Amino acid sequence: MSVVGKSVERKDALDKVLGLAQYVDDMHFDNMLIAKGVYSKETYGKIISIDISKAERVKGVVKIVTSKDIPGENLVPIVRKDMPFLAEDVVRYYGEPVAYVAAETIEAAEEAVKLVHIQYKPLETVLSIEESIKEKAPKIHPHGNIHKSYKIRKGDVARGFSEADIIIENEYRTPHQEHSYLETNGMLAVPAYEGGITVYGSMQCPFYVQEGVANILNIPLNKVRIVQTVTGGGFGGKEDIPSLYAGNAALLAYLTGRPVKLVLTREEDFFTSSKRHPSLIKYKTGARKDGTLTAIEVTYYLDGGAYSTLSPIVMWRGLIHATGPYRCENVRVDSHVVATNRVHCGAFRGFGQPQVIFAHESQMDILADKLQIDPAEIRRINAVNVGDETSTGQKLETSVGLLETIEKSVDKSEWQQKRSIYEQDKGDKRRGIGVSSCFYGVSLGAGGRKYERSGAYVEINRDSSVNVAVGTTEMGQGMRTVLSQITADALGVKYEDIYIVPVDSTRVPDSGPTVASRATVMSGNAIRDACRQLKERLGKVAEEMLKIPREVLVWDNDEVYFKQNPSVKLTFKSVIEEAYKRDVHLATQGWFVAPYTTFDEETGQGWCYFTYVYSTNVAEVEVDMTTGIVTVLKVTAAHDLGKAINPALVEGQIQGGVVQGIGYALIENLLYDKSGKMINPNFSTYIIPTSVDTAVIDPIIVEHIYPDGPYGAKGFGELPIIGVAPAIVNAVFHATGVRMKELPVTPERLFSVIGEKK
Amino acid sequence: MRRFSVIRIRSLEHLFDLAEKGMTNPYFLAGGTDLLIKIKDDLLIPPFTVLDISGLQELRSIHFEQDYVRIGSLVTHGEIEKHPELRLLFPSLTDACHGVGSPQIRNRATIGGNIGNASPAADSIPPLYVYGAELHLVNSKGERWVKIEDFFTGPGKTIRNPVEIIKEIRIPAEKRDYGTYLRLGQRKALAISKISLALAGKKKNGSMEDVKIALGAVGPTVIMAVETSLYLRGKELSSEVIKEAGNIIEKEAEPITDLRSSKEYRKKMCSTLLVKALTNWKQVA
Ligand SMILES: Cc1cc2nc3c(=O)[nH]c(=O)nc-3n(C[C@H](O)[C@H](O)[C@H](O)COP(=O)(O)OP(=O)(O)OC[C@H]3O[C@@H](n4cnc5c(N)ncnc54)[C@H](O)[C@@H]3O)c2cc1C
Repeated sequence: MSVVGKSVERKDALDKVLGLAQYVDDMHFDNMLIAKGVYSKETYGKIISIDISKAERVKGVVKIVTSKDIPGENLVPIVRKDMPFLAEDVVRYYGEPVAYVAAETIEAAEEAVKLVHIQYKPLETVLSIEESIKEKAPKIHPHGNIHKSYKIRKGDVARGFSEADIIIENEYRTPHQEHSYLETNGMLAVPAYEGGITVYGSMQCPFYVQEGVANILNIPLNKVRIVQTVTGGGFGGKEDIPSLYAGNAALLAYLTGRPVKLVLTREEDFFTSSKRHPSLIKYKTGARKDGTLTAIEVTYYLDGGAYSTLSPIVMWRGLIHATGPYRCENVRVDSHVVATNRVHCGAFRGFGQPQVIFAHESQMDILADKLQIDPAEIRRINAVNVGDETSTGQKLETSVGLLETIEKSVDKSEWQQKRSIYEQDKGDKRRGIGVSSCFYGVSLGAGGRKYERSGAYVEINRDSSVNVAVGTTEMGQGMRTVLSQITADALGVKYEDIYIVPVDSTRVPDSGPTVASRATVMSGNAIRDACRQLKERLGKVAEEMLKIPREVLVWDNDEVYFKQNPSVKLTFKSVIEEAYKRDVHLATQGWFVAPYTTFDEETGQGWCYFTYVYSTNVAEVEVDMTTGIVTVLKVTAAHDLGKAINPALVEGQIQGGVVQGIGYALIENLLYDKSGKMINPNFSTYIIPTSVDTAVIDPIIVEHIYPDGPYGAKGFGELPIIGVAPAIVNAVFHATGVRMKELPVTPERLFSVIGEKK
Repeated sequence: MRRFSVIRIRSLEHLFDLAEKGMTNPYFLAGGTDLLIKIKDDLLIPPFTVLDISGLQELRSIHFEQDYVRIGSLVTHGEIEKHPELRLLFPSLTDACHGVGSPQIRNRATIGGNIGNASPAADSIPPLYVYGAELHLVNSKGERWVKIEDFFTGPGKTIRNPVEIIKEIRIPAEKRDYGTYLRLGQRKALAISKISLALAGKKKNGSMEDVKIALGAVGPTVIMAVETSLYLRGKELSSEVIKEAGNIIEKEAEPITDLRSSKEYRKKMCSTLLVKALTNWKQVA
């Protein structure tokens, strides 16, 4: 009786519903200090002086740190090291941390923050991609304004365009997006014995945080223990920047010898945490009359903000997916992530893909319109299938479910009928239906080869209950549930008997980050490796107890039985009891290294990801022509993810992704004033969708088994948001005849174009 | 958030006593949905005194009298939106209160606080303009009645002196033929209005009489579209009239560009919302 494939209840559901889950802000230690940050009020400036003397005199203030107090390296270790834990001579964005205060009470800390006096000499700012790439632009970093560039060269684009019957060329723009996780960032650092330190906190990547803390304190990794607390959402936002908060909390704890808690307010979190990169995309597509693509040429810019954080690999992922899930022999892509004096951008669900997919799916729609081909059909015509090649020359060998996602979403949404029904709308309210397809390379691939391994520690207790420790984290996505299901099936025991222990860096070796939809495949396979070893040991015991060779024993549903005669059996419990009597070692480490991937920076060719997931979204909208307001009526979303370990969780991911996609397409807009200060850093002015802004969501699960994944699973989580915005914008085109090339499609923007057209 | 102390007011007399003794910068806490945010954002300059008036039962009721309907200032948006008699008499007001925030906010936030906070985007205010509401202001020294359009002087600014409490709002109990409230926000719920329009009017022998129109979020205070009303007087609700009224109202409004919307869009939407309101009226008539 397998639990894989069943919608079992989430492990953490009850705790969260009852309010029992302990977030970092719920934790308390005796003698604990409260930390508050001093954040730059200058967008770009030289620091002339920092005066903490008044602030130090506030009653209750115990310690104020600036960059001078850092014993280790003042650089947050991410992809390339350019972001300091605390600004030294220069601040590069409004909100950059310059100092931290630790005090007995939050009031004292807040008071002191106001009294830290920093003098700046303002420098000329760079606030957009266009400004940043100008020849005479002020240089934000010694290396200039380009954080990183990547390219793809495949075939011969000139020839490809000469073979085209139609060429379309457009520019697209997308904005910042804030993750809007429920729980803001927070860390609690506690001095441990012999100069060690323990940090508890909200995070996705404990091993990144561990490296960060070791770096700032200049102590070895073995002295730094990281424990992840229940994490209230991440969406990529807790991948890079928690290292900075943890580092500063640890610094204060280290210097005071007392526990220090640093929890950010929503505004502080908005100002200092990474965002989704804004983009500027120049996209040229050539196709034959029948719709087949002949050439694609893209120049893709991302605004990386003041520091590069994860930008290079965000850019890289965007690059690899820039041409969409389509066959095209002639491809040229240039991508650059540039520096500006705005907040640093990093990981956000989709990781550099939603921007460029908005562009390529708009291009496909424009092509379809110009060539008088049905938009779903033009995608079908070009869709990759098993045996086809990606733009980087990777041959797709198995598990390519794209065509099925197109078919299923089109059928289920009644695409054909609705295309013609909606075209009849001629009044103030006009409906439209649009489609988009995309793919997503699972895990880090060649871009993060050095992190492509994960460990798991599985231990069977004497009462036959099972503990599992992994290095990937639960942040709300359901990992603890899915990994419990995998463990239960791997051992043939009940789901209820599995407990995934809190993530602690001392339990398993560095398992890489919890990003890129990788936890199911990476930790799942590591668990299976551990369970295989344990079952071998248990097999010997059962074999002797039953006097039947272990090759013909079946482990299932808390029992082990003889394949040919299931009535010859033992309970799992009795085997465990016997194993304990015999001193069998019932705990072990599992390990998984991802399949081979590679990338050649010169040609942009390579086997970039070990597998891909695929999706097609069909969106239906109603546009009020008198106001420009777009209402999303329905989104039918079909996703090929290999195997749904827990279908309810998969559907939940799709629903959440669609809602986030609606926000990205229509509503969310981070605003800056002319000086470069973010002006809507909270939820009363940075607007995200509410339940009434959502649509009817129809999730469709497509399963093209991936043989190397646990039970055929490929990984899921990021894909659901990626294709939503273009599907909506394409539906708006169908409804109104207006092509919007910049997100978000606010009523103001749409109405101004509809008004012009009228 | 800074620490502050709260004085719980037991009765109006208690309030007046305290006022006589003198208080520094008093603020009333009714539902607290505006006030607490201001305190949290450090927008109130200390020292200040927070007077919790939420326990004053006498400000919680709604009375229907011969000439007036009297609404206590502590009545919540939730109570107003669900009130069947108010709905019949003042649909523009009940519509407006229905659109405020979310159910949680509507259950806490009061109409007195909405007025006291004096935002040009406050939803209950435009309907109070079109229904000719008056405010009963009282303090230890006496009382006065003020017409709602004379009350506001700018965003967050009113003629009220700090220890004066809005005790109630009275609205002439006059039945109109039509009333509506239309608003646009940045999303479909829990959004501050980026433009709003309240309209109430009567008809006589098929033509409009006494149509009152108020616009929210297009100026420093709510404004009345006087010229548009004048134009509509005595006219039939025809498509041409509706269209022309739309053109006139666009010229009356002087909105600005801010975080929530642009000047141009707001101007156009004055016309759109009026056309919608009048067209609906035409359809129900
Ligand atoms: C999430 C959220 C959503 C919101 N959405 C909306 C919306 O859609 N539309 C809208 O209009 N508003 C909205 N608001 C604002 C707010 O809820 C309203 O303005 C509400 O009516 C304020 O009432 P209150 O009782 O909470 O006022 P309080 O916060 O208690 O007081 C507000 C101000 O009025 C003064 N005051 C209160 N009572 C009196 C009185 N009896 N006499 C004199 N002065 C008084 C106080 O001194 C204070 O300055 C929203 C607020 C939040 C937090």
